[in-house]
Amino acid sequence: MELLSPLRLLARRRVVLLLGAMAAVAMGIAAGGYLPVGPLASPERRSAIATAEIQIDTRRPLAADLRAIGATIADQSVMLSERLAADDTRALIARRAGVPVRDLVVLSSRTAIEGRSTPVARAAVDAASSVQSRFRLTLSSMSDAPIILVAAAAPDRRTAARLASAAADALELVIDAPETVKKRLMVKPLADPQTAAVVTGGPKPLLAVLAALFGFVGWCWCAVVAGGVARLWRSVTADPPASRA
Amino acid sequence: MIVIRSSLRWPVAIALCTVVAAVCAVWSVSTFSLAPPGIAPRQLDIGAATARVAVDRPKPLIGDADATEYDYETIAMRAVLIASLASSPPAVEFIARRAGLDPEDIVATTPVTSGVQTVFTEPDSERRAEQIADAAKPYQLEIRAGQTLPTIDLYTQAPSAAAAQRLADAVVPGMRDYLKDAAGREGADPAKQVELVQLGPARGALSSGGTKLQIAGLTFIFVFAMTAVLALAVAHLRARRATAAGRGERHAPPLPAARDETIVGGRAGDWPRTTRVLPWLIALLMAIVFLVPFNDIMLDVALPIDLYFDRLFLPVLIGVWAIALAAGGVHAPRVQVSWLHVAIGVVVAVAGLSVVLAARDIQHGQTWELAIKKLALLASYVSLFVIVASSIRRSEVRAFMTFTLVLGCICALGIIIEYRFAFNVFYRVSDSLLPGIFHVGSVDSVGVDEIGRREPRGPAQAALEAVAMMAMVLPIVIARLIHATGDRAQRIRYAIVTAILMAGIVATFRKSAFLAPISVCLTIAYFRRRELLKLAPLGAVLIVLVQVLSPGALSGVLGQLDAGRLGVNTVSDRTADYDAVRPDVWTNLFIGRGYGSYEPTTYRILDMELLRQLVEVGVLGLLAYLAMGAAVVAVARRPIRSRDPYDAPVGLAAAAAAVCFLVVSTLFDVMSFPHVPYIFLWMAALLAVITTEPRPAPAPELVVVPRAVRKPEPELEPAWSS
Repeated sequence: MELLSPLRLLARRRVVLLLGAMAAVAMGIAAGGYLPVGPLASPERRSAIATAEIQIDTRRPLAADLRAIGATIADQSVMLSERLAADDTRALIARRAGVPVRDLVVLSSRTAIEGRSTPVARAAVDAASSVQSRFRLTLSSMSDAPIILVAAAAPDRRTAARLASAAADALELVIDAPETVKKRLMVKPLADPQTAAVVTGGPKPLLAVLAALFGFVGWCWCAVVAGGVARLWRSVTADPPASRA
Repeated sequence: MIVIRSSLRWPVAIALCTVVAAVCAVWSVSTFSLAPPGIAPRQLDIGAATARVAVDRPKPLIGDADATEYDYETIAMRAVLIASLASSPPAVEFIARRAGLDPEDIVATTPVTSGVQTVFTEPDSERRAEQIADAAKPYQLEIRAGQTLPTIDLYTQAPSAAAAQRLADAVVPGMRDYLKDAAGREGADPAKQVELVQLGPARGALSSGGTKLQIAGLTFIFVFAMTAVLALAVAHLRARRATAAGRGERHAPPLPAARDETIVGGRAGDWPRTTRVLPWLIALLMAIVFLVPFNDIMLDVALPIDLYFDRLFLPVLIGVWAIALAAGGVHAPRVQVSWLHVAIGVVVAVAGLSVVLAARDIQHGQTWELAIKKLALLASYVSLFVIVASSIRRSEVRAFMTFTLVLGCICALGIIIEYRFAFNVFYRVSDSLLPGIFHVGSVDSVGVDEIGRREPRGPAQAALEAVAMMAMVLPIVIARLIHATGDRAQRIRYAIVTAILMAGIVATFRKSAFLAPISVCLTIAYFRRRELLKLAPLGAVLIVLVQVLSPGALSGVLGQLDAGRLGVNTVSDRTADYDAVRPDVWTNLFIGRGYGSYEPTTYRILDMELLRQLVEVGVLGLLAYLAMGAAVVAVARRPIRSRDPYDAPVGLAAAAAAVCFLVVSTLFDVMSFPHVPYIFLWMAALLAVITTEPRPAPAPELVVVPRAVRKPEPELEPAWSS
């Protein structure tokens, strides 16, 4: 019932409605990413990802030989995946994949803050995750199985596949480097990396329609509220009626 | 309506407010200098960075097939030791040297990350005083050891992103220097030390993007609003004085005209027999408050803000209210300022002032976003009050009170079901009814807290919150019992409702289930001693009914109040808070550290709203908060004393709910649990309706005059005829 008055008010202001419709359409076009330039422009971007799985194993295969002992192997596989982010291994991965080392970022999926998070820790994690890079290698480990999941992102599928493959080489380097270790763990890639093209950006028709609708309703709301404020303004600035004699 | 005689004064006043607000906004992010005159931007940028370090033995465990669990446990423990040492002053000196900084500018901390109860890791007041003293230092370094793996996470904060990264990158070389130095002093072999391997360069960025604009914007809005309110108040007082002087005597302000009940008849009548949208939207919101675990339901869409369920609905209500207000008309909301508006407005004003004054410190403490969120939450609570107080008619208040009672009853029944069958009907139904785009949180109806109590909580986030919800509904039914004029069946119905509410309250197994209803009963007893005494026999019946509905719960609650069992964690934590907050209180005694800026994870969880208010908004804010509750009681006195069968129960219920709200404010942080402030402000708003809107004039008695003797009515003369 209260909404009838605003509707009547709007029905009397057709020019305002027309302007609102035009503004809403413009807003929809902009929000939908149809404009080639500007802050809301959303040009289509193509990139690629490659995924691979690497098993860390003992000399005697854990899956096939009951005599194999792997009490710490899950922890070790987590640490191995973390170790790939170090400068020496990152440089090796970049060299093998043929990408500039300064553009390569190796991340661990173990980003959760352990214990009670604090504002400093949260801000640092947020700031770090906001940094973009062309080539990205993300490593995650299963907590209860010695398997490392590799996800590589690059501008094209071949580079992404090379990055994912290079992770296994880097793991071998980490394991083989120390001379003091007698029995070393084994690195077994479970399959060739699987690649896929990723398309991001581009026009979003649903978002455009929603933005246009939202914009039009918002415009009408503003028109009615502005009318109310103007009426209030006129009433407070008007001279009081002269008192009757 | 305030009318200023000169049409020029209002534009001038608004322009003046704008100028003052603009100057304050610029000052909030800049510094002014007189000699030479100029404006320089304040240093408000904050950079943050993170890095990870692996700890290993010289003979690495990482690829060794012979490594044992013991080896890993040992090295993980060594990582905890290294992390703890890294924040010690000697180690910080080495780190600072590597980073090219003054050690006095760095504050380093190592939080406890092992899986112990939170309360055991909370520092005492002395440690807190040290934290406060260090908080202003420009460089922050947090060093966290992994819980199970031999890793150390580094988090840094500095005036720029590059400086934050530099500090994080300096930790490993600094610690190597420190360990080498320690080995030299202790005569240990440096070759037999732990290996620290930094897992990639530190990654960081500016973490304060857009905050400057937000600080300036908030300052502008706050100062503009405050100066505008001040101008309005001055204009209002001057107008009143001028009117009184003109008439030569003081006149009471004219009462606002009652709504024309003849207009509101028919289709636009009183709720629920109305087609008006606003009362229905308000009723829907209250149904959500009582029946939906809205703070555990979130829109599963990646957005910069967390869209909880109530935050989806409230903007719609505010939008409809604003548009109806702006459009005007017979059914438009009418804002009439009462003392309750003033009291609640003061709470908001003090909260805003505390944030504006402490904006730079809040920003440095990385809690600006939190403070803004809490301010927005406070605004949403208050908006409900303003909307309800202006949209609901006096004649609708009783219907809405009944509606509240029904909702409270359903809530209590749901909690009783949860208590008896370990099945939370509110979460289950919400999960079933809402589409997949909503994420409904989970609830453990059989879980127990740290002292072994079950936690039935209904639609609330915590059992204490559920207690407060139902306890604030309880006075409605008690007031009705006292003022019941109907037959015995009606009294029996009210008694059953009371029993259901009480059974729901005690089913939560909280000590507050005893304290909150007691506060309600004492408040009612203060105003209606004799009437309440007459209901004493009902108390015995209630105990039996409560035992039947929630078997064992009542004795469970009473057992917790035994003197020998009051030393449990939940009690000792609260009492420990009193001493522990001293440094925070004395540091910002008058206006606090900024509303919503207290981050419990950096210090301790305050289980008392009054303490939180004292810390965040100081003595001024605490007084405003207490005055808000007291204002409800003060305003309710008039309708209570009138003993009017319509007004008195509303006043009584609102006053008791206000006292209950203040009592539960001493038991937990009520403003962080939205169900409670929503219900309190809802009751306050209904009270505001009956106190601001005058009673409709009694209808003139109809005199039936026989048609034969009816005289012709005299012809009306124009008012201006002589």
